[in-house]
Amino acid sequence: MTATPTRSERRRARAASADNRLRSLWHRAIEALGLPNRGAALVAVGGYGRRELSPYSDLDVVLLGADGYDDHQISALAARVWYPLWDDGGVNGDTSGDNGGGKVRLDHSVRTVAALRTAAADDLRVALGLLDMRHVAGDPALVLSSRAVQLADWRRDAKQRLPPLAALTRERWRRVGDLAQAAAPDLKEAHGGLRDVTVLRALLASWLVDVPTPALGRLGAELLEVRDALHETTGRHGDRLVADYRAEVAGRCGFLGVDDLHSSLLETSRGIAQLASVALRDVDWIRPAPRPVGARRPILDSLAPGVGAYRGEVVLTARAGPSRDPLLGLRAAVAAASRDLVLSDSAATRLGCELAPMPVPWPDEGRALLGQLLVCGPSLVDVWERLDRHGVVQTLVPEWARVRHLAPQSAVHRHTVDRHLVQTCVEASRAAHRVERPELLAMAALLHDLGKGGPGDHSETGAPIASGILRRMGFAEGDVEMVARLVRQHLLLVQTATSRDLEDPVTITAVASAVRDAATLDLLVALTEADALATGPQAWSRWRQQLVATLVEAVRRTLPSAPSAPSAEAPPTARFSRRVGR
Amino acid sequence: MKLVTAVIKPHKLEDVRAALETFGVTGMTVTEASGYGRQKGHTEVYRGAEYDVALVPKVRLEIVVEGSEVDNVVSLIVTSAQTGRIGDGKVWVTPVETVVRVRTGDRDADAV
Repeated sequence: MTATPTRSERRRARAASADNRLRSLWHRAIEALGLPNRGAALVAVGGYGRRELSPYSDLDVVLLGADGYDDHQISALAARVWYPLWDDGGVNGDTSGDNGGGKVRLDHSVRTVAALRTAAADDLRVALGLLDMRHVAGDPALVLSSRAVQLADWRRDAKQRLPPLAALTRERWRRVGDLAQAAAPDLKEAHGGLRDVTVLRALLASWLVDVPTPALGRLGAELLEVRDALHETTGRHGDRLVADYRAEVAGRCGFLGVDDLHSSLLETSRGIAQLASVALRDVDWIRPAPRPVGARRPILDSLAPGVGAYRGEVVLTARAGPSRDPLLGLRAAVAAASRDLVLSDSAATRLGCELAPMPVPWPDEGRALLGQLLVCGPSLVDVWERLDRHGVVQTLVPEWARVRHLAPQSAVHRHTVDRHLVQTCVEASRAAHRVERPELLAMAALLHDLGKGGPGDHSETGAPIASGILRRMGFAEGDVEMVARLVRQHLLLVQTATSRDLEDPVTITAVASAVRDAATLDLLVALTEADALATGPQAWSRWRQQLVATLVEAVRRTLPSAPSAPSAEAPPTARFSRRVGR
Repeated sequence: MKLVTAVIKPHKLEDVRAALETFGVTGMTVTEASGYGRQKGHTEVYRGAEYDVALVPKVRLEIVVEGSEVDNVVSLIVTSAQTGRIGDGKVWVTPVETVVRVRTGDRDADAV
């Protein structure tokens, strides 16, 4: 009895099967055209070059001709290799038997050695794909020399090419988001996904950046396992792990359930993201000129007591003492987020291991620092993620564990619950100027979904959790009640606006009595908008905005001391036309 | 087969849904919609300034039913969506040539 092949073995078997098919077509073509087996070759590139073929991966193949190879002959060769593949579908021969022999897309090109070199010089993505070029059929010496040239070019031009690669990579991260925090993660393109593994390999090949190879290999293989299982489940090409497929993918990968798969993916993708972040920062410090001769010790810019900046990162100074300074974590976080700097891994690790617990109640400075941190805007996301990864967030707010990495229950949500809370803070920071107490808005934004970690209506269960946290932080009792009310009512406006008769005075009175005063209404409006924007585009459609705006104005009119909140902004409802001078 | 389309006030959706469910209607398509009828929208005040609300938020329901059930379904929708005030909405009926359930390939009455 033979053992079932592992997925890694099946990936290699798919590549070998595709190699065999291409090789046989190649030899038939050479024979038919009466050409020598020299001066031209078939080359596997990209994932196929690395023998990492998932069941429905594309096959990237280049027909390489020596410079000066006859154009007509190479065209005839191409026709005799590509056409049979298009005609009979299944390219990789499907030895694994798990892709049903379905069609695999062929990504093909025909180039001379010189043209290939130019293409790599013009396009970073081509250059990255060619770093993995592998001989399949034809002249092996041609492939070997072309590969040597590609690698030599990559290394020679690395100082010029790596910074644009870093910029492209960061742009992709901004566009696609974090794999660990997405409700339907893209296993390839997301931050912490397979594309990052390819980028890291390219950085490693440049000899300018060091990446721990064993860790990279292990993390990449873990992600490929999930991608293979996803292809097996869906029966088609694609890298997005949507909720419908999770249970089956988890089963196929041997996890106990969806939560197990989720935790494993988080660890893997965070590991890759971490390697990529460190490597890209090394790229940022590549300088064409030699290093200046001067001080041997690093020179830190002092940012706050115990906190300094070094090469774009916030670090702890030699005098910092996390074990006797409970505010140090928040000081470092504010220093990083307010200046859009990276909180260094060394600082985050040390804070995670040594940071003293905050005294109860928190000192005034602690509350002030947390308030400053939460209104820092988009730069909060990365800093919070680093604090969370090293356990600092749980030192400050142990209740955070309830929602950490928690997958959302609704398909409308684009983030995990913890990431949604941070994104709500980011959105709320934009509305801070519209409310009297922005620090209370920030706290409500951070805590509004903590009830999701348990049974029952999360708005109701979340309110006492929020109160407990705020009391521990030393907020005044009135403020504690205000935030608890915001948490309890954070869905009130949307739910009422979309399901109740807004022309019925009873509806308006009920909302007004729940809200109580104009200041709370302003806070609740800002929280509602921030929560919806952080949830996803469907949650804050024009339709919903307009209904909420109608409700809010009706409620505001019933609150006697309510002056209209000043704002120079256009209303959220896009279909309003301003009536001027009528 | 007939397609019943109703545009109603959002807060009436649950009432209409419950009434249709009691009657045995098992499925419908619900869309967030905006529009206006004879009332031509209305005026609102938002943060102190006055605005014309050209398009009022509504909910659009689409239900495919057998011809014999149309009158009952329309009456149920009208009764349960009515508030008697301006902007209650409209219901209209259009003929449907054929209906296919994607999962099974069932057609017409079997597919509804």
